[in-house]
Amino acid sequence: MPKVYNWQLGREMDYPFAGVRPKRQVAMIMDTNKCIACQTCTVICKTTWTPGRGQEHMLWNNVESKPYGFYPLGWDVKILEQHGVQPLDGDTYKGKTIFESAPAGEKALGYLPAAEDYAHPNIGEDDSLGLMSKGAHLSMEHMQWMFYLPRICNHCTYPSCLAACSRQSIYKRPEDGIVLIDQERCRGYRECVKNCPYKKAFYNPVTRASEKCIGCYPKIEAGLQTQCTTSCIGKIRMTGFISTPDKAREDNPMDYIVHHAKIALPLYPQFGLEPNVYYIPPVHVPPPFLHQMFGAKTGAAIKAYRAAAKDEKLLGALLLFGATERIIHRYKVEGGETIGYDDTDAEVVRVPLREPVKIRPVWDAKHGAYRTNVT
Amino acid sequence: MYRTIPMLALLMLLGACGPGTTNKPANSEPTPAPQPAAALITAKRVAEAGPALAPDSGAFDSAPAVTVNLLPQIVVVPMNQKTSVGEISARAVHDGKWLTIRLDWADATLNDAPGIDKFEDMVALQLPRKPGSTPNIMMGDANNPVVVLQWRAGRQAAIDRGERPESRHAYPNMNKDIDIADLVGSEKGSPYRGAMHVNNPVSLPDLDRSPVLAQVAAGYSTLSGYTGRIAEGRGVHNGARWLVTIHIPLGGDNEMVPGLAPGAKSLLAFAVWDGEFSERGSRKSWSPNWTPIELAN
Repeated sequence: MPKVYNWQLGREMDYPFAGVRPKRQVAMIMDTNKCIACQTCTVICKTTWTPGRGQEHMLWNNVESKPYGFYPLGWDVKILEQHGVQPLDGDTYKGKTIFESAPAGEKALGYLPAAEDYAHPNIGEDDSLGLMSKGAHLSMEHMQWMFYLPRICNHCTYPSCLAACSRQSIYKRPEDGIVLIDQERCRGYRECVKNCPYKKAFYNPVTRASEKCIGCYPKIEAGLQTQCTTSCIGKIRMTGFISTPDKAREDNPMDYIVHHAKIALPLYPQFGLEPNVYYIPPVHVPPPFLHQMFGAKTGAAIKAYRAAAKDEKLLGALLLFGATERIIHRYKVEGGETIGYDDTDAEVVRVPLREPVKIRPVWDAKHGAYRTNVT
Repeated sequence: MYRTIPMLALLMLLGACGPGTTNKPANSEPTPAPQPAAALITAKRVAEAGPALAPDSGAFDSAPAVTVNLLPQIVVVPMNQKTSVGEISARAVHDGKWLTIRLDWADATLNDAPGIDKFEDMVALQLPRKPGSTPNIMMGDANNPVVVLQWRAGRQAAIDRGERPESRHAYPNMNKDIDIADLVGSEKGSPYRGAMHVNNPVSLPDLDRSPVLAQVAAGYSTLSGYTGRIAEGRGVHNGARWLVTIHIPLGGDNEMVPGLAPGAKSLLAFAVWDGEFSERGSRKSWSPNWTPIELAN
């Protein structure tokens, strides 16, 4: 099996095909601390791409509550259980990937969900972890925890859906790294559904072919961010292009957040797919859970995120989230503002680093009244 | 019941298999005994062999049955190392216009329903496209293409329903809010039908299609659809076995399998998928040798 370099693991790994990186790679950063699970992203994705027959169970984008929410049911605990306990510490991953743990006769670890697993996409919503003892009352910090995890296809650098397809119907576009299923060539074998550990490939029982998130490629081609990004009312997402660490540019907000500030991390990097959606981990969740989900660098990421207000460059990158529909290729912080530029280097957005604050006196002499917090 | 074929036995079989196969294990001692020549399937001439001939017709009783052993496909990944179908019986008849192969194998479960986690029972015949050629048995090769005629239980069930496929056929009690085609019309809504919109042959875009999916191949992973209607078929499940007929038109009308005519010889290979065990694609039982067929004059 060919060897490919996975920078998220810090080492080479086995992959069924030779590694060829796209000319540029679409990526997304999501700030889990800002997500309120309003599901606007889920709904706009659904109405844009999957309102057809046979797509009823498909949510290319979903938001689930962790630790008890799953779509499809139990997707991550099932593959984690198959994967077994893996050593996660250190700069170089010493465990096995799902390709290196493939059973005989398979390309990777995997399982095929049952139809019922898709039946309750919002199961576990807002369920928190931890028992409440008698007499418990709200206190800081909270005794219990949960958080929202928005998910789309990771458009992985080493997709296991692509690796597993015996028809070679799945391809990764060289121009932007988006992973697509050829709808003409697919025969509905569901090897992609089985082998995507994130369960973001779906089978359409009406067309008898498999389908997946297309990364809103028509928008990407037009220089626009994805539907789930631009519809997000919490402005938790940014879509752009990410570089490998050795080619990271400080003036690319995606690169700055992931490679320089290192506050956004891939989901389950130990699977070995080099996923291209990056999460700013929730600051309030116990470290062991985050460690398993986002890798060994979670603690440092949270520490840096908490200090973002003091790092103008980082603050500037974060404030570009949800600020424009255009993809930002370059940014700079200048005069108390963060300025984003598109692929033609034209300015597309300008956001103040700090909202101007005006403090008014408590006594309003003109109206002869006291101002309170609600006025 | 599952059968497991040890890898060594398969390698020996492949090493000794028929023309067109050249791979032989290095330093293999002792040399595997040559396999007996595969039995000849003789297609008997009958009065009527077209699509009207039912799979359980008595017309097949007089045609000699040839039993072909099947092995789990364990050459390419992914694979099921166990398989559920160990042998298949083939009989053939022709009437000068149609060659009909009747296939018969044990399968206690009928799998033809659509569903997210359901797979259908299928059987396929493979034939050389060039008369007189002996292609690589695994999907042919660049110089010797093959045609694969795959009868699909689910495809037949969909055609028998007489309606375009709908979600309610898979999940009758599912609640559905809207269908985009209901809002914008079927033409504008068509792109939302994905594979069906681009006429993927497995999507059954037209109900006048045959339950037999015709495909061509010229090597591994080259199987591609053929939109012409070149074969018909019918399957009947009797509770314990599948009886399936595949009807191949003879003569000049059939550009996919030219040269088939009374007196001609060709080759057949077989593959079976049991949907009950999630068999699909390369997860199948197959015959690692060609079986010759001759059409009686």
